[in-house]
Amino acid sequence: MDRRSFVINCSLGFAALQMPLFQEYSQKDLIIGHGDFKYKVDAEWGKLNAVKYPVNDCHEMVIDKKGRIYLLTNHTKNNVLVYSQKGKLLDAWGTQYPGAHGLSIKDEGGEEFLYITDISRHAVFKTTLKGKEIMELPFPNCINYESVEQYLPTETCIDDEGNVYVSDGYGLQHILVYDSSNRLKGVFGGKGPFDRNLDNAHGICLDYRSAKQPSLLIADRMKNQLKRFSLSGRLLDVIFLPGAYICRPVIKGDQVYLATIWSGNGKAASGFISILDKNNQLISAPGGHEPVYKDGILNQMRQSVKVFSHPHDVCIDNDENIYVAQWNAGRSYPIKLVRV
Amino acid sequence: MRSIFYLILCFSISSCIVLDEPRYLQSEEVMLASPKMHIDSVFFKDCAIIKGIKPISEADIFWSNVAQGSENESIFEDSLKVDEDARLLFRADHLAYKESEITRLNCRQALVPYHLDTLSSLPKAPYNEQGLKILNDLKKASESYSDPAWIAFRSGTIYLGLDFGAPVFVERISLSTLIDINGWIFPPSSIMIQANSSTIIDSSKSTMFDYASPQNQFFDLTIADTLSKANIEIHMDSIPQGHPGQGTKPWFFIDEIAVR
Repeated sequence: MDRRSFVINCSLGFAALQMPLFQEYSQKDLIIGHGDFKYKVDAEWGKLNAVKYPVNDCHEMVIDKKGRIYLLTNHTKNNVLVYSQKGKLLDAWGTQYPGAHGLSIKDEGGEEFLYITDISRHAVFKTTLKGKEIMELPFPNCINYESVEQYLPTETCIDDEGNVYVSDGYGLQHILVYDSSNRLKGVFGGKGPFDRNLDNAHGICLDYRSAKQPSLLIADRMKNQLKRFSLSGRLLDVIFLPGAYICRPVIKGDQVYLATIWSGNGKAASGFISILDKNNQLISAPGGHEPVYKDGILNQMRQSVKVFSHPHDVCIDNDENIYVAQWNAGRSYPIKLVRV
Repeated sequence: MRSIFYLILCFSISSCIVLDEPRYLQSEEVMLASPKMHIDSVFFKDCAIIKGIKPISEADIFWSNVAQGSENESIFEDSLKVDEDARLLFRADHLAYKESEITRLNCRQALVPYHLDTLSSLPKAPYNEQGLKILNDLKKASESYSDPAWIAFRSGTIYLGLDFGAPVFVERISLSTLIDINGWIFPPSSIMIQANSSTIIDSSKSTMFDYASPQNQFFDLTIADTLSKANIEIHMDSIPQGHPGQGTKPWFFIDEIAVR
């Protein structure tokens, strides 16, 4: 091969190598969200072989200290799927949670544990990260409950003293507080007409953003409200998010992230993601309208593009990417929103 | 020849390279959400004003009025004024996205006042608090059956009588109803209106599978006659097979009878 041919061949080869890249740049990546919180959408992130690793509803996700992401589904072939942040399946376990709904993670003395709520078994379970069940919280034997069927726990959160806060979001709407010995020590919330009452207390988390006053954030979904309670159950604040049917608050940094299962007047498949700042103002709504406040009141929120169907939970990694699990979304796997 | 060989070789190699980058969703793969349309009065005497919210600010909203037999679309500007019966379709569109699904909006002119008699039919508790007066108050109920602006009946045939007081030319009578199959609220199997010596029948049969979610539905019956009274018969079939309530009486929900 002479020098001239070599140059021509190499040029042609280089051009061919570049072709996929040019194709990549000629397309337009969808960007969703507002302000500093905008994202590209990796819709294929969590996709698996549906025969080997099926899902029904993908309810909740948490991330452990090593960055592994745990997905909870109510498919009893594998209630928990464990992913790497690149979407590779690392583990699959769990066959005994037909009503798997809520998933929380807590570091207890260096070891992390999962808390699973099951609305079919009317119970809360504690497991290791490998799925070994080590505890079941007792049924809340208090005056408020006449039968076990009334107890439909949707979520838990656990404080540093080992107190477990259970939201009975599909049941009687109580927040049940168990001490570290699993004894029921307090009840608040419940159905009723007052601000302190709850209507679909779907999700709960501990808010340590104010070092002076740790508090509980509770989604009052059917009222489109996020409520802040003291750890003793006193209502501190009501954050109204009109048109946003929020599921579980998830705090990362100063922000609160919430999967928003429906929007507007509650039409099916109208969900988006809500992101609140440290003052609990909605600053970005990936998949939704740009949030606009007028005289301190948020305009009614609605879906803008059909990226999501029914977002049910979010999980945030250290790069502030968002992983979205969806309920009733055609047995689809989680989506990753990559922050841009 | 050798150049082509190298080209194919390099192309094959490049095809085998698995880029670690994910393939992000492209905007043209994503559908816009439907525009949110708001009408100040579904039932009106003179006119109704419609306003809309785009799913994204760069999108356009297109509208058409199929009640006029035309599917020609116009761009929706700030607002739209309608002064006659309308069946409006709205969709959002933008070059970079898939167009939205259609938002439907119906409105009816209600020009003729009347007095309403129940004849033998009475609305059933608890959906009777407001009484029959809500059927000509020009207020539209929501798609929720718990909205007190609905009244409801549960019998095989429902009889309602309209008394116009004096002879008046009636172009059409519209019944505004709710259909919510999961709530056991079904459309009528037929509606008959006896006006003077003639009988007008609407027997548009629907299956329950047409109504996956709660929705409002108008039943429009053309009269085109001068009359002082009209008797309406609403026939309800039993709940069909395949529904948990099969064989039992369904509910009939109505919030307005608009006469033009």
